[in-house]
Amino acid sequence: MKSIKWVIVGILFSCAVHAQSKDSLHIGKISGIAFDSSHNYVLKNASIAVYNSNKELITFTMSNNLGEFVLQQLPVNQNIRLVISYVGYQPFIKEMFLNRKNDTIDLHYLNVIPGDNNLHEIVIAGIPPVRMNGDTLEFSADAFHLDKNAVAEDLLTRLPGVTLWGDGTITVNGKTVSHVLVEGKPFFGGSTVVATQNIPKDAIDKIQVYQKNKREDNPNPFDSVTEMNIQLKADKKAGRFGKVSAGYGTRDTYEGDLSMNFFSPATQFGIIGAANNTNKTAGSVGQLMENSTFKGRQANIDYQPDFSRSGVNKAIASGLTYNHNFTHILTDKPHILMDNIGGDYSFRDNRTNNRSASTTLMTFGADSTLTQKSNGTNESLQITHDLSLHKLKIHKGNKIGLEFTPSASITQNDNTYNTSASSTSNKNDLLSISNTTSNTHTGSGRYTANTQFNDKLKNGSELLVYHSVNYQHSDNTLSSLSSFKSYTNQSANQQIDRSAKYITSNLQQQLNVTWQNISPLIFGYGHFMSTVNIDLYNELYQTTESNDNHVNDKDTLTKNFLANTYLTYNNRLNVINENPNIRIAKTFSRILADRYSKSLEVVLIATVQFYIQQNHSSHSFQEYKRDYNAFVPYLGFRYENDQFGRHRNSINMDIKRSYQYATTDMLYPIVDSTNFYYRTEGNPSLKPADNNVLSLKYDHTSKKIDYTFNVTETVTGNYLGSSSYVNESGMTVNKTVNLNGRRRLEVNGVAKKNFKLSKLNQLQVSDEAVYSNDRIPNYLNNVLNTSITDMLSNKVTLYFSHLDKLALNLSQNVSHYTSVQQGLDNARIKNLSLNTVLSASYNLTKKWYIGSNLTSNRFSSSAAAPVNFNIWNASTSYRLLKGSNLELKLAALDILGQNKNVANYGNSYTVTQTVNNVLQQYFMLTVSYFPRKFGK
Amino acid sequence: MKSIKIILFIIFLSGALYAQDSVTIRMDPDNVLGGSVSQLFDSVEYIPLQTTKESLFGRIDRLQVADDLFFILDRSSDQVLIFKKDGKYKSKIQMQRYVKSTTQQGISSFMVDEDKKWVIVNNDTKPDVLYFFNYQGNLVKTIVGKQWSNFGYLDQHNYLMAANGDILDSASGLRANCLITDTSTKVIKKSLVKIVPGMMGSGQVVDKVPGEKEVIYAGAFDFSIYKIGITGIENKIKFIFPVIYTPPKEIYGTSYENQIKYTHEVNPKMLMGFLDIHTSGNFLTFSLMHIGFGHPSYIYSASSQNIYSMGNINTDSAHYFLPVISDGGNIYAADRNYFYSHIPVYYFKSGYNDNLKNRKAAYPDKIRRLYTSFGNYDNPIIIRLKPKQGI
Repeated sequence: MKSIKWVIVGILFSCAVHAQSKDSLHIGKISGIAFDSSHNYVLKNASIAVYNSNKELITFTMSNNLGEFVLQQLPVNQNIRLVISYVGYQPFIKEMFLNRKNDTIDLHYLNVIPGDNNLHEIVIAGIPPVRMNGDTLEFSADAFHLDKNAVAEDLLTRLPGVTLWGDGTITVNGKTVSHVLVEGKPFFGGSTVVATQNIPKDAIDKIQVYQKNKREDNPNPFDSVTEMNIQLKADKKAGRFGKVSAGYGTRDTYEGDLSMNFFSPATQFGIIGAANNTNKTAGSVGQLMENSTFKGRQANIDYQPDFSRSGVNKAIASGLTYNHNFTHILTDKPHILMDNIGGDYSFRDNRTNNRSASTTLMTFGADSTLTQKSNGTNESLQITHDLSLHKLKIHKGNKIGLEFTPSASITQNDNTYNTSASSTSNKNDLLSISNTTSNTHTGSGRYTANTQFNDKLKNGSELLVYHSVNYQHSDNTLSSLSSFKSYTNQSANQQIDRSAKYITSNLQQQLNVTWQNISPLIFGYGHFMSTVNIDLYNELYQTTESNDNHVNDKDTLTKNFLANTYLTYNNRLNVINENPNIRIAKTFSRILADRYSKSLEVVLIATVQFYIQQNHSSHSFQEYKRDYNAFVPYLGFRYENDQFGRHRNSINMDIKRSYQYATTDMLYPIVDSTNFYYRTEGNPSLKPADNNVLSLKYDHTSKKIDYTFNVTETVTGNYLGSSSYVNESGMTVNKTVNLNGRRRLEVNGVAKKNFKLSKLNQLQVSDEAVYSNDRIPNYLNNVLNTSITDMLSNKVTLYFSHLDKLALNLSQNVSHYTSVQQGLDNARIKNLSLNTVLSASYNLTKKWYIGSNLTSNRFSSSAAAPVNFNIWNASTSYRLLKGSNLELKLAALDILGQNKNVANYGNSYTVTQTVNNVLQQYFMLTVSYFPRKFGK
Repeated sequence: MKSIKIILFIIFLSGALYAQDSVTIRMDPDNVLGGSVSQLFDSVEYIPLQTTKESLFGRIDRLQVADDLFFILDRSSDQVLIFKKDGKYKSKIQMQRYVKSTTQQGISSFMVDEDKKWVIVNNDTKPDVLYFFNYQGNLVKTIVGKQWSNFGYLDQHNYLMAANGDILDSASGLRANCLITDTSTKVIKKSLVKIVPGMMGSGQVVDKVPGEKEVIYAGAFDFSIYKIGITGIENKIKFIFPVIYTPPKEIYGTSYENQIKYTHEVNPKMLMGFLDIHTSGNFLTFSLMHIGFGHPSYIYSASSQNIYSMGNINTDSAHYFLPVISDGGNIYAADRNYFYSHIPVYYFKSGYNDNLKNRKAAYPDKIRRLYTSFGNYDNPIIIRLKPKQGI
């Protein structure tokens, strides 16, 4: 009942909705009381609508608990029709005429007569725009007259209480809609925009909004989510829609899209394809579908190429999606049910031409630095086939369930690298130079599958089994030519002509077995211990990684390729991570019905970890076996305070420990001699690092504002840190050592507030901030140093929209990084990035759209000179044909021609700035056609 | 002659509701009457229930008015609280002291023995035990016996007991789920009503007739209300509903799943019995059990034979447009002259504020004082309604 109330109140207060634009003629007002005189009671939640002489809806509302209604902003000096509709009653119709002298009319009691509606009466009266059907609020699409090419999204923007936000969220009277379904089922993967931007408004019968309990076995109106269902008309439950487009522009740029989708009551099938050389990439079939909708945009930011992506990229993608839902007829016999079957297949071909220049500054003290510069080119080709099946669910009643989710992919990668690098001291003395040219070809395959089984046992406990497997295999063939010249130590000079083959396979498995709710079995029912939740878990992780490397270097004398016996080897690493644990939880709660609900949950998990590493290698120095065992505790507190109808707060605190174990590369590494500026030394005496974490999270949700705040402090003992020294050639030699004093503090928060400025205008404000402070101990040139780094980033966003006609977006992003070396005379390095984005989009007419965005970037770093650039894009599109199926679009990208790709990052005592080649200014004309048919 | 006239007059005044052995009421839930509060009730009174640390409770799951006291079952705290008729707190029965149970597995039902000043309680965790408490909340005794689902007090020697299934009286050989027993509940004196064969589900409604040694009873799928005294069934009110509300004969005797499917998928309007039956003078209130949405109370007036739905009663200016019945339109208890409902404080305050804002309501001092006295966490408010005679 409460869920109905907030909906009704929202409707009443949002009151009238105008299908026509407001003007000075709308000054009339009508009030009255919907009444059933034959039964002597008022009609609550009756639908009251006013139409003009063309039967177009002017405004509507619903009567309150006393049957009262008020309709304002009505036109004067024209004929209007008042219609009251109520389930089980004949429509009440009254023709009226308001004039300026008599613009306010109180109709008092209006008698509505019981009786069934017939079609003739509905034709005369008009379809009630909104009604309560039990617990469900229903909007009738035919009551709203929109443009004949309007889609579901256009209808939603005109429904009272329904708001479409700039980030894609839909709310109904302030409540976020968690799912948008079509005919009660997810539509092509469940994406909201695929449904709302493709389905024509004329194919919709009604839009339903209702509360769905999160747990069907424990219904609680205060623990429910809001769902929206688009119900199609009886003759529109099957159809097809899609997009075909082609565009060509300056600098030989091109784009093409193909999408065709078919649906029926039980089956959905789609085929898609895309090709471009403008940095548009989609990772999945779903993303490609979202970018091919009929409406094409959410009236805010147009879908556009990624100008921040490095390199020049050409992409070809195609895919298929299929899903079939089963309809079950229950019988008296026990039954096994499968809900649905389906899957996605995608093919991607990505080719990249990347040129990069990076500068790394290493600081060893106030006056001691080393600068490394490198320039490189990379041509790569990646071809990927992905196949994944939708989750297969089989269940028997509500007791036994099996879920299976498999996926597989095959990838081919070809890369050609050319890199030159140099190392310079702080006195600008050239220390060394290097050059490398290489070609690689990699073929890899991946298979993953997750299986979950659950069974509710007769003794009241529950058994859950989860298994996942991830297998990857790759064959990598390499040929390279590398040279290194040192200006301080000639003996370090070398030239290597190499041919190599690397075969790697990796198998990871996880098996979790959980026996839940065993406390009553041990302690019985009816006393304190039976209210303590006890579960037994066993988590087993198994990893097998094998390498089979064949490396041949050309002999300078014989010119023959001879096996490099050091780098030619095979090894097999097995890791077993076994974690039996017991979980004990107790919830203390205080509930005062209709007022508040407070609960405190205390969770203790006691785990004994058995960790075994065993490596077999053709190099005897890499043979080892290590095993560890440790007690790994976890203590958690969850406090929730729900003040019904006012606000909800929650506080989560976690205290936990975990261990990090040294890898083979830390213990017994094999060093590739072609890596001239970085070498690793092994350290077999390494002990595991223990991470101790304390984290706190606070969350507040209310009608006024939502915000979240997190603090995490991590203290690591026996931290696996680095001990580095830089030799006279500028090469860094690193060894992992155990160090104490590693700490990290991270604080982040998000706040969001939505403002409904008027029926037509909305504003959304959000702020996201992250701060971290790290104390990282390390040895640098045999001096014990602590790197203290601070990182602060903050992003403020304002989003304003007026219906679906105008959208404005302004965001400011600041990111600041500093690093101080305490053991090296407090030497300091820093990075600063400033990014401001302003974008606007406007629908000049129903068919003509214009949009533009401007991004301003400022980068400064200790490693390089400041970089500033601005990117300005603009586009306009026009729809043709009766069904607006044909679109012409003209786009201008990077109008100012300033686009750059700059990345700044830091790590302990280094800071790096990298500049890559990027997509440059171009202009493009695109033609798109949207074939669509809904119904027969 | 005069004495005969007086006797006849008394018989007439005692109400036509139970003047006959059997009464048939035809009712179409889609065609019941409504009205404003002023048309149907002589008075509406708000009785705040005193809120202290001791008396604070969650929700009124069941209300009984007896012995000039309010007896309130709150399942969320597993208590029966006792308040005086002016709302002052008297005492409470804390079941958790005697039986530890999880939420909603505590007290299921209770009755009041006005002669011995006892409150008799059962418990879902130990369903074969009856607990007897005095008005101070102290346990007096327990009786271990059958699993009774509901019960009513007849007199100091007789209880009306109801079980989920038929119980065999070995003395008479009769089976019934509604019986008269002695106060130990072990000796069956009369077997009265059997469960309706062939239909799923169980459950009964039992309530005391105010001021009489009688109890009213109705069972699942038995669309009759029985008035039972110490000698047995004294009266019966039989209801006839339209076909769409009546279980069809073809589902009788079919499986539980089939009957569930029928009510959920084929006809959610199908009725399954009564909820919350109360009687006061010439009036009978009841609500109807079905899967669908909304279960308001109906008032049947024996004098006019009209049926009103409390869901169709609207407040009016005479009562300052304040809420006069629970959100679902339910009557929860009755005594000789009044019906009782209840609302949470926030519901009252919300109506009060809405009227101030939208109607510029001018409340009398009494109502204003009432409003300002309420805190956000206060106990619910009892509403006492006096129906107009002759409606």
